Amino acid sequence: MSIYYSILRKPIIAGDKKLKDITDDVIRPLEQKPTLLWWVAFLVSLTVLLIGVVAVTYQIKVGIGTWGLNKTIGWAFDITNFVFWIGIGHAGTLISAILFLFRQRWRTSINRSAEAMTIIAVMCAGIFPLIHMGRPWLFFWVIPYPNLRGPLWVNFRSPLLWDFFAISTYFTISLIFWYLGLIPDMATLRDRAKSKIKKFVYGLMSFGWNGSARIWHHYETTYLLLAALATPLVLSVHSIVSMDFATAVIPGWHSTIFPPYFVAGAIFSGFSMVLTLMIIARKVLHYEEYITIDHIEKMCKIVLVTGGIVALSYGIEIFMAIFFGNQYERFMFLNRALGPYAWAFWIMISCNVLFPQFLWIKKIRRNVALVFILSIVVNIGMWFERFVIIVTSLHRDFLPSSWAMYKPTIIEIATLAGSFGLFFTFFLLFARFVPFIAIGEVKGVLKYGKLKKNLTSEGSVKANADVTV
Amino acid sequence: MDLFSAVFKDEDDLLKVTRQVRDSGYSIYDIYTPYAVHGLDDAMGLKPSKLSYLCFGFAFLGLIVAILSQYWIGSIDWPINVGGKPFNSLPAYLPVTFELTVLFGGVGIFFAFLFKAKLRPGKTAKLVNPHSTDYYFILTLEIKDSSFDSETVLSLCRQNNAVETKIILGNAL
Amino acid sequence: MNTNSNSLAIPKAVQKFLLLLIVAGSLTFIAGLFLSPRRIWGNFLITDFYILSLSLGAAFFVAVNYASNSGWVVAIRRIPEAISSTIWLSGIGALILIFGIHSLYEWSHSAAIHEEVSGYFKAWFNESFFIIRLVVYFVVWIVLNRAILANSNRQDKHPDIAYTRKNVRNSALFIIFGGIAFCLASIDLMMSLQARWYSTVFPVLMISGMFLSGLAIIIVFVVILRHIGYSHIFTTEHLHTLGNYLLSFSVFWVYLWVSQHLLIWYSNIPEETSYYIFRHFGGWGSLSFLNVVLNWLIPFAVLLPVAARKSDKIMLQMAIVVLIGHWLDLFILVMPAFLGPEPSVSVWEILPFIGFISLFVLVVFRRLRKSSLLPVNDPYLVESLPDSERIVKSRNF
Repeated sequence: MSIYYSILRKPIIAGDKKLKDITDDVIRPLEQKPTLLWWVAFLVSLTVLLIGVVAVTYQIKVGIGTWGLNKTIGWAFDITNFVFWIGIGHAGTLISAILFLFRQRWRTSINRSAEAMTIIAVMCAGIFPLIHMGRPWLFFWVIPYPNLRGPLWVNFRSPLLWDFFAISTYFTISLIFWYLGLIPDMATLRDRAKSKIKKFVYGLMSFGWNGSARIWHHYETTYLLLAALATPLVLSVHSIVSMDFATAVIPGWHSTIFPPYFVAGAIFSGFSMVLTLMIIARKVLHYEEYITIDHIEKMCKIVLVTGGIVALSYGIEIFMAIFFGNQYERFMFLNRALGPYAWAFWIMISCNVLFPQFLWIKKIRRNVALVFILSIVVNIGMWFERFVIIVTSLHRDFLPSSWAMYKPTIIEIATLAGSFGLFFTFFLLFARFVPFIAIGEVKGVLKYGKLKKNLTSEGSVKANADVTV
Repeated sequence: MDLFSAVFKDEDDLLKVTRQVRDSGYSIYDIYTPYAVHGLDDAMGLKPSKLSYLCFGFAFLGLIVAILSQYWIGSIDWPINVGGKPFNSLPAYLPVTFELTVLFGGVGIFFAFLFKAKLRPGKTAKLVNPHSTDYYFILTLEIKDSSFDSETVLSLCRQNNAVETKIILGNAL
Repeated sequence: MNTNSNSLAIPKAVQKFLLLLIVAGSLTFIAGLFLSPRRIWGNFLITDFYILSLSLGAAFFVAVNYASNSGWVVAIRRIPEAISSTIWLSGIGALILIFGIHSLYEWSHSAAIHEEVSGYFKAWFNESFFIIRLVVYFVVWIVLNRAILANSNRQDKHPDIAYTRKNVRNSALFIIFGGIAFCLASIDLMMSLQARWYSTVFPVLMISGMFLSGLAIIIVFVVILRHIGYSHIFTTEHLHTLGNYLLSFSVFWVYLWVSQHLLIWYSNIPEETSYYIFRHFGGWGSLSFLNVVLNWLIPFAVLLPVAARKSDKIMLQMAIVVLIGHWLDLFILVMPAFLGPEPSVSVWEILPFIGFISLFVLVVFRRLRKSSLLPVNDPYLVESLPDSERIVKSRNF
């Protein structure tokens, strides 16, 4: 072995696997007939998705008046859901890009599914601004092209246009990144496939990959470059989303900490969603040896760190509102904590700041059931965070005569439900037709942390007292 | 050209034999592995990929396109006063500029890679061994002329636990 | 076999020269107190905060690497450890700074500002609470940092993984409490210079600047030690990884800088623009531009190719560019209040600063000599050494 590692490193893949076992284990769910559980989950998701489709059709036909918005609160549920989904969509690329750059080898077990989750979540997010346009069939007006209306160009000073560029770039790069990782696995599937149809489809999708080391060499460079590009991209996307709010002059929205704070929040919520999905998947698909308790513990630590940054940001905002001069800012924070939406604020604080602190305890981090519950708690908290930021900053305007309250209509709730339906439908399809775990990458880390016995018998925690210092 | 091929089951054996055959002066045609083996490019003596320069070029192109087009659109072709901001609002152009830089760089490098590796949808893969994308590592050497010392190669491969060796007549790859 | 000291020494001539600079700096500082007190206090604030950034940057570097169980860093860890052990220097500086509060902070003497800036401002910004806080910050940093260093050194004598485990915990504590303390300290020491202005990202921007300059000073020391004969343990790979860090944190810094600048520029609220109006035009404007060039553009453009991140010479140059950039960053932050609309640099800026830096360098070298240059019993050391130095030895972990 040319890679040396400390005796403290644990194997990434549990059990005594051989290369072929990995392929077999990962592909097994794809080669079997779908289970009853899968069918039930799929049909439920599809039904919820259809409810969403009906709701969306209705609101497009009738108009945005079907929402609970009013003159004071012009942005509420819709944008909350948009930011929520975009946030979820941040973990995948983080795992594949940032953890890759930091050489965190454990990422290989979860990167494929987390990236798929990212792509689906970005699609879910994209629905909301599309509907919000009111006339979604004219959405292509946001693309700058020499049109027949002048040509009338788009306004490059508008954060909403930045959003369009950010999200479409993010979607494209995530998709490319995901597919690049998929090519070698598609070749593995192709060479194992028995049926002609499968051979043809996988053959088409594997681009003629044959595992040549010369190609692997370029492949790895490309992967590294995409990771290096995707890392600042992840940061930029949620920063730009945060600028939808922060460029405004509304107290509670205009805050210079928004870009990094939104990014941390996005990773926080995204990782919680990854945890939720992985805990289910490892159980249902029998991937316990690939997505181990150690993986879950590591993800918990990331949730803890990003949650800490989110808490710090809350703290800084409240600190500055209290101790520095702006009275509007101060009123807004008092109104958030004590006003009519205080319940939402305190849900946010308890779900995002208080409950995650349990993750400091190692026993809880390694308790799958508790982690599952906590991950859902964080997801709820992060949804409420966006709701609190958006609605409570607006609902008590500068003029008390225009103060108002907001309540979502059944149409809006059905749309949110529909987006979850879309998310799970696509994710279930993904788990059915694409290898859930990056086979090639997991094989590459198979030996990591496993040669311990060998090493110590040679006498070899390679410490090195003889180094001449 | 004829090829000599040997099949291995373990990446460490492969790495070792690759270094040995290269040191003995054989020319490696290619190696087929189911995953990216760490250190193999070194053992084969591959030069660092030049794709990173291309990527930089694409990204830079994106940067230039973004800045120029926003400037032209915002301050020349159709200047509009938005919120009293100057027609050429460079700070406001930064986000889109950044996104296009990344978009051009990312999409560009992906297609450059496919081009360089000659991969395309529907291409038929040329395989030496059907398991090379699953669990076998295959070393192939070029047999340029009769001076190819197959005895030595065979013993090197056997020493490193080769599972099977064969000669492929006429390059079918 | 394990010695607890090493033969590292700086030449006598250099030592004497540094001592001379320290004396010159101190004398200039004392002269400045009489001749140009406001300006000298402003500069002393810059210098002290600068030294604090260097040592805290290194301290956070050590803590982050411990907390994340990283292996690559272990062989060079004694360098950031030695740098981080100098937090007490800026602590003493902060004690001296207390005498300059009236010259520096408007809130300490002007009643007008308390009438203008309503609310609880006074509850936070009053002299006694300010001094108590300063002391608390330094106690938090020094105590936690000392705990980490002590465990690291103890491990040299007693090979025991328990020390690593303890340090992971200490590091987590250091990151949390040290981080909060630094946020508050940057608000107290820096942001309150113009108390009518505030920006919520400011503490985070200061953290990134602190970490960036900490990385730069670590790189400077690594390159120096490589140059004087330790290149067999401080390898090109270490330099490369440090280069990756420098590159990414330089980008992170500019990201936060742009966030603050873009949002304030865009919203155009008078309370907020007051800060940039002063720094956007004339000489200060050019300096602000230079600030971005030094802290981001040059390091980013130069370090983009991998080869540059493996070259001693280029890395040293970039580290120095960043170190100058960090001084300029603080200069632009502090001095407009004391110098008026046009910037100028004089002996008051230069000599006391150089004097303090010389003291810092001397103290770091002294510390480096005290312990082995390699944490010989660290369980992760094996991941950090080059192949040639990986001598197989059995150890009783």
